[in-house]
Amino acid sequence: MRDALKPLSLDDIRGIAAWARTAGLGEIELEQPGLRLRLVFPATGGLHLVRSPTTGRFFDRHPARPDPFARPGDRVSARDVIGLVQVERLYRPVIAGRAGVLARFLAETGRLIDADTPLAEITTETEGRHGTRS
Amino acid sequence: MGSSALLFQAPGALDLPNQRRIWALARQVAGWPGIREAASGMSNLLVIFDAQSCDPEALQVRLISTWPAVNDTPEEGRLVELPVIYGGELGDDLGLVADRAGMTPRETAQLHAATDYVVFAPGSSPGFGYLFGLDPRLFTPRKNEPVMRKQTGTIAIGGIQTSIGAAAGPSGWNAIGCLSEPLVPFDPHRDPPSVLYPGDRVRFRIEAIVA
Amino acid sequence: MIEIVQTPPLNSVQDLGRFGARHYGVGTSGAMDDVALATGNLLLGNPAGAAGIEIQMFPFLVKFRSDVAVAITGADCRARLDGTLLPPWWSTNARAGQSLVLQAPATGARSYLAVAGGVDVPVVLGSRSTCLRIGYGGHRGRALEAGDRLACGASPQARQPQGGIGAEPPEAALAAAAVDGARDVTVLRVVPAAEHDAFPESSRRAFWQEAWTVSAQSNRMGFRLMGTPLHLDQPLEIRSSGIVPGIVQVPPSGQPIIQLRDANSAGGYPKIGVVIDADLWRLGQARPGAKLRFASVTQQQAAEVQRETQAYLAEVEALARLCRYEAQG
Repeated sequence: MRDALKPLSLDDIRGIAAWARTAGLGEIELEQPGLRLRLVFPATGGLHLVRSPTTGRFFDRHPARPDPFARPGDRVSARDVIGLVQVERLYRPVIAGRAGVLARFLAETGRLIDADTPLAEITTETEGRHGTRS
Repeated sequence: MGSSALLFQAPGALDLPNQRRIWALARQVAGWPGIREAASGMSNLLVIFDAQSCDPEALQVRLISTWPAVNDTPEEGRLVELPVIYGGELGDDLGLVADRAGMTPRETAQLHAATDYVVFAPGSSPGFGYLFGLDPRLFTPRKNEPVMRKQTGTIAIGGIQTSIGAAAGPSGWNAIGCLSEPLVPFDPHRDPPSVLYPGDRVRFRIEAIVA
Repeated sequence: MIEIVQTPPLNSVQDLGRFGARHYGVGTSGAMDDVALATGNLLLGNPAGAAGIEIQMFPFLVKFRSDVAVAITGADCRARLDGTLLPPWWSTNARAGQSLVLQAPATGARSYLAVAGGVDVPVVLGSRSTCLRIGYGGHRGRALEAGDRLACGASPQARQPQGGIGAEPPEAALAAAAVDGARDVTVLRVVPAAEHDAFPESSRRAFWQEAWTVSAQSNRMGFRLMGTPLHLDQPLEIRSSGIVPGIVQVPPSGQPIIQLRDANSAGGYPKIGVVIDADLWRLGQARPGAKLRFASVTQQQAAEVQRETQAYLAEVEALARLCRYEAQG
């Protein structure tokens, strides 16, 4: 964590805001001598559609493993793999793309799907303004 | 021998003229299309081929039909003299071999050292190779249960063959002695890497007989 | 550059083996599961035979000292990159400072870590494989130890697409031979060998119909099998010959031995059969205690299985290349 006595720059604040968004926080407050910072991220109720990267067969888990990558209700980050699309001998990842909560899958595991087909919905919470006070 | 190899066993005796022909055959076969390796054994040749481009049956036929015309060419090799201590702790089967031969251990050692051996083929471990020329009186079957041999350089008899052990490990051969000077049988960074090659002659010089 | 942080013994750098050196009496060495190593390499855009790390004892921990794309294939070792669980048979971009942990697999015996550009150790007698038995090749001629640092070769295929790409595991993609009544058994296709017919009917029947158990005395040199002893009616004087990995020998004890990658290059025991090249990877994944059955095939049938395996690898290579190309897009 940051040295508490070092004053925060605007870049620092942007960095903290980006991190907080990715982590799915709604609000974060920091305090140091001479500065109190509160960032608020009002939920916009955004919905992110995760689309298939390619035509192939969609799986919500790797066929060689019992557990799915993610279940509805799980918190996911933008880089998380939440499924696979098999193209012949190759598997391509289905990546969340946005941080949030996996709301539901839109395709059944094992189903043949086209490229760009929506496969899952992620409820995002991270759009909004931030404020500073000193 | 499996999906991408054949073992050609030459008819006839295990002897030097036949083995020279095996070496000549190996040189020829190595140049045939689709052949990856041609490795000489004791009057046999292991031929490894690319199964996608080589028909094993055609290869068999070609080997069988080529063999009669392969010429016995003189081997190119060096004479290598190696000092040996017969018997003792590292040659603890000398007595067994001697009993079976109906000789004393001393006579056995002298008979073993009397022959110049020809290296017929690379051995089971790199460096020394399979030696030919063992006097039939010294033929001794391999053991049923292999014994751990710690030392490389062990001189042993297995069936109708004699060898110099190139690696520590379990062996069913009968150990009758050991090289008196340590030799690294194989070092890939050395030139040449192996101590002995097919075609070389080996003369064992008796340093001592511990019986 | 990758640094070995923690490793038990017997993990080593291997490629697909050392060929053309039989004149020296040198065996092939190379990956026990050659298909796994090749697949990992092909996912990364390496030649199939680039050197990688064979892991047969776990847990295995490495730290990346530079950015490098990697692939983990073979037995499912639940690889975690900085704590994130990777799918099996998967490739990903590792960044400098990240750690990779491989855990003991629940099934299978060996995992493979391939790196973009291949593990850069000196070529010895035409190969980067380690010959553990004699002590040359690979990384300093020995198994890996904590503190070892391995350089990675230069690679034009520097990065995997985001999120990585994976291959369908061979267990699913390549059909094994089936034998009647065999469950929880690894079936290996075998071509009968020179001394097969010299065995009496009872021994031949035992060889083909029994489930053999892989004993604890089994390793990269060979597998000792347990089952009904096989005996010749009369002892045969076998002249020593070159042997190949997969050869099933019957020593005087009657318990077959399958010679494998680190075996001697020659031998003199009676040979009853040879496991086909294309099934050697299945042996590479068989653990002590596993049960094996042998299915008799001809060389033509063996060549057909080899073609299927090559087709699988070619597809993985082509699709992986396409994915990387699109990702650069």
